[in-house]
Amino acid sequence: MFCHHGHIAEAGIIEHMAQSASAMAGYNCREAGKPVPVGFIGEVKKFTLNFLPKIEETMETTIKVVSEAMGITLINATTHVDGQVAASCQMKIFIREE
Amino acid sequence: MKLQDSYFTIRKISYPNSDTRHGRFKINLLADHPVYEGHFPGEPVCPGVCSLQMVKECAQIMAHEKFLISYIKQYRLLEVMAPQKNPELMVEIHLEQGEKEGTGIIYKMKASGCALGKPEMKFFEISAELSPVR
Repeated sequence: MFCHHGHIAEAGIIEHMAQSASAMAGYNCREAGKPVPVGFIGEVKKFTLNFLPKIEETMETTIKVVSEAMGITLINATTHVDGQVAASCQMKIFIREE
Repeated sequence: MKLQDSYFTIRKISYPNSDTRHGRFKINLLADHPVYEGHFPGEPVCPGVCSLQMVKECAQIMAHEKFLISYIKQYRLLEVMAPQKNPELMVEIHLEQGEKEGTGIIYKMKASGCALGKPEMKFFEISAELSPVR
């Protein structure tokens, strides 16, 4: 659902970034033997789009955790295709402790 | 990726001050869209990125242009939005045409979405730049 005319749409890149961050958070929780909580995007800031990746290209996304406090995680996300930055942003994620 | 008529429908578009740069969209969310099978099973919640795409599609109707969201200054998600609890929305969009060095014409957009008839129940606020695709 995130593709358009042979490219991934902007919304698809942002969802990919959010999914990458949550996959990382979930993995870290499991490694630490903790239950995996539910996370929601609270804010997207400074999203900069350079180009839309094409279908069949591989997106590589780097997530850097900037801060974690009181159920709010701040991350920087950068998505590369073939070493070129396709898009980047800052994201605030709310963690719901079960 | 087009969400109009599968994820949402537009019931009414109005331009309050006869100004085509300021539009109000009465929107119905469609709860049977397949995205809710996964987001989340048994607990349908509107994905934040779908609201973003929906607003882009509304802005395209206002400007009679196709857009790329080239920059998002800020997109705040203020309340959990769900298609069954909040099937009717009011989306308000302000567009301002401008120029950016090196990239040509862009539109600055400010948009917000709230429950229809309940302006105090605001779901999101977006401040972004849209680049026409020609």
